[in-house]
Parts: sequence; C-alpha cells; structure tokens
Amino acid sequence: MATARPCLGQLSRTCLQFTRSTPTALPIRLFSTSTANGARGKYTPPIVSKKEKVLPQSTNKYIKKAVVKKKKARTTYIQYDLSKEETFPLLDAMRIIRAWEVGQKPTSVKYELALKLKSQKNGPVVRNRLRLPHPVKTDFRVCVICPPDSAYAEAARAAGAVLVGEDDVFDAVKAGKIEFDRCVCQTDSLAKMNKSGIGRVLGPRGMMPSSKLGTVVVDPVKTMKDMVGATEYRERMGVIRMAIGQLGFTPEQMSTNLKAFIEAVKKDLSRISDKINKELVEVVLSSTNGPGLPLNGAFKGTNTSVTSKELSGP
Amino acid sequence: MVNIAQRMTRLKELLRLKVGGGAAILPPEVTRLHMDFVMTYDDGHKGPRNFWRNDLRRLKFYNPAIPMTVSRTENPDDPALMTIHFASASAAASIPPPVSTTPATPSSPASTGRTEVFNIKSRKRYEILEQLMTLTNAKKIEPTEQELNEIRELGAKREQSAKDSTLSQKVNARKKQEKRRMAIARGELTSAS
Repeated sequence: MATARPCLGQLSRTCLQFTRSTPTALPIRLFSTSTANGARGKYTPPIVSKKEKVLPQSTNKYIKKAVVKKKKARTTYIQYDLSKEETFPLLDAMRIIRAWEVGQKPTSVKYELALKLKSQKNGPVVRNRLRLPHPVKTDFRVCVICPPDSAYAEAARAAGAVLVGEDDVFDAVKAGKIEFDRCVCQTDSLAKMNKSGIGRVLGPRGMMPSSKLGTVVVDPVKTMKDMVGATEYRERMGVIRMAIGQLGFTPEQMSTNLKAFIEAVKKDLSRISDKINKELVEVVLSSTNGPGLPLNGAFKGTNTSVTSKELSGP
Repeated sequence: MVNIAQRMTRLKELLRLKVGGGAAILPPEVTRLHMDFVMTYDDGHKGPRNFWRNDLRRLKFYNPAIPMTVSRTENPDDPALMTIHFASASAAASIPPPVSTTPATPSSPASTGRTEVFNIKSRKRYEILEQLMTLTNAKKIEPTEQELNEIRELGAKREQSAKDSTLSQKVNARKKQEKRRMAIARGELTSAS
C-alpha cells in the first residue's frame, strides 16, 4: 500500500497538466480587455458591468409582480338613468302580475313594493313601522301574559288573544307548544315571567317580551291592536321593500295602501336631518313570483283596457 | 336594485304574456276555469303543469275577470282534470261575467250553470289548449306584425346572449386556471389540492 500512493500522485499530476486553466504561454493580446475572461476559462460567464447586468429572470413566465390598485370606494349607491324606463299605470301592472300569478293562492301571494332612494351608503337609514289602511297579514296569533283573573285578561280574550294567563302559558311554552306568533306581557307579571325561564325557549325565536321592543306594557290590548297589521320597513342597500297587499286586493285597496306607504316614507325622508339629502327615485311594484313593474303614479293609463272591477276577483 | 338595462330586458320578455298559445278571449258564459293535477310532474302531469305555466297565464291576461284556479295535490295517483264552468245561457245573456269574491268555492257557480270536465293527464300542453278552445268557442287573438317582429328580435337576442355566455365562460375558466397555476408556482397551493 505504501508504494501505491506516490504512484497515484504522479499519475494525477501528469494528467491534470493539460487541463489547467491558466495559460502558460505569454498572452499575445497584451492590452486586450477580454484576456482576463480568457484566463477564467472557456465556459465561465462573461463579466459584465453593473449597468448591463440583468437580474436573473424567473423560470416561470406566469410569475408577475402583482399590481394592486386600490379603487376608491363609492359613498353612494349607483343611480341609473331612468329616462328610458318603461313605466306602468297601476291597473296595467296589476293585470300583468295577476296573470303571472294565476293559479296561486290569493292569500299567500303578496304584492311587494320597492322604493328606490337616492341615498348614501353610510349615514342614517329610513326605518319605521306603519299600519296600512288594508293590512297585509292580519291573522297574528297573540299570546298575552298577565294575571289570569285580572281585567286585562278578560279584555285580551275579548280582543282575540289565543293564549292568556301566567302559569298555563309558561307550562305550554316549556312543553314546546308554541301556538302563537307574537307575545305580549303585562307589567305586573314581568317578574314572574323572568323567573319562569321561558326566555330560553322564546328568546331564540324573537318572541320574548321585553320593554325594549315595547312588548312589556301596562295595557296589552292596546298593543295587540297596534301590532296586528302594523309592519316594519327599513332601508337596505338604498331600497325600502315591503309587502303592500295580498293578491286578492282590489285596485282601490292597493291604491290606498300605496299612497299611505309612500306618504309615510316621504315623511320619514323629510324627518332625516337637513345635511343628508335623500329622495325617492323609483317605485316598483312586484309580487312573490312576479316581475317587477315600475309604476308611473297613475291609476289608469290612456291605453288601459281593463277596469278595476275586472281585477277585483280572485 | 338590479341594473336598469337588465330589468327593462326582462320587461320586454313580458311580451310573451301577450303572444302565444292561450292568447284568446273566452266567451261571457264561461265563468270559471279550474285545474286539478299533481305537484310532481313525472307521471303524465307535465303537460298540465306546462299549460298552467304558459297558456293559463295568457288566458288570464286576456280574461282578467274570469277566476282561474289551480289545485295541486301530493298523491301521484290523483287524476288531472280541467273543469270549465259555464253560466246558463239566459244568465249569460243578461249579466256580464260575474266577479265572484269568494275563491275556492267550486260548487257555487256550478249550481247555476253546467260544467265540462275533461282529462288532461298524459296530454301535451297544446292538446289541452285545443280542447279548451273548442269546448269554450274562445276567440283567438292573432299577434300583430309589430309584436311578431319584436318576438323575432327577442329570439335573436337570446341566441346571441347564449353565444356570448359560452364565450365568457371559456374566458373565465382560462383565467381561473391561470390564477391557479400562478398560485401553485408561488407555493400558495399544492398541485394536488
């Protein structure tokens, strides 16, 4: 083994002699700028100045620097040019909707109204409740919590409350029998109600009486009467939408309802502070399954061939 | 609210409520139409449903005073029937079509006049319409030239929009793929996911 090592060393020296990169001969081009490169060997990359140096390009051509442009958010809702809009008198609109909703139950299908406002995205919104001249939904089943032998209980029963009492109501609710849509509590039985623990059942359904919602009152009958037929409306995305009538309503009923609603909204608009300018832009009548028809405010147009009597039936 | 252009296009489509099968005026002695069929439409109840969705709407548009009711049942074995209520001839001559204020009382108009009932199960929409027209002697309303032109325009628009939508679907798919490839290249996504 000791003899083999110098032998190998010699061999390698003789072999490597020819592959050495430094030129042994005197360079011919003495003042050439590229001699240095030549000295570095044939396959080494050329030396370039900083200016000429280009950053190594990414291997993937899909990688681009993402340009993030921040758009300025608009503060108002888009307003469209309504000059070319096709509008309908009420009778024509009702005729089309009634034809569209043919065969549906006249009580389950509702006329719906959308009021488009010119309004800002932030700021106060229109929100109120209104009792229409012809209420859309009248069959609320109301439960009144009050001492069962008080005068209030009798009055509530007379006014058409489904369930009246204290312990009976609590037991029924706890048993899961909730056969009412609204619940009103008399102030005297408030403490008893809070103790009973029906909040756990009624709370998630939004039926738990509370003074904040105005359902804990001294006179439950008065609230009941207000509740039936009153509907809440509010502006969302610059539009107020509300059910305005049942399909079975006559054009006259619809007209009074529409007028009442639009007047109420206009009053609300004027009540909002002077700095914020809101106005009513468009009125669109639609129905549960039907098309949306912009109204022009007239009851009967020049081309209307139907009478209101024809549209009064089921 | 939805863009105004889109809404107005929809309203133009309402022309189909005026033109097509069922655009007819029923004679004054017809007091009421009633249809019975089943909710699910696989067992011969597709024709009645199509009739209700298309032709009955047009009939109601041209005869707004005549009550037209539909009752759909759950049981698939129930029959599909069309009932036409006629007022008696003398009553029809003296009074214009009565406007009944109480829905869902099929017996009240039937008691005064005659009724015609025919089967509509396993029948096409146009077959039902044909029989109804012959039974009632309804007067058909022919579309005007202008309406026909508009219908043609609507059809052309619909074709064009179908083409456009397939094109934009392709473009969107390509964009999505490109985005995905970029995400994979950046290492935000693995190619498997």
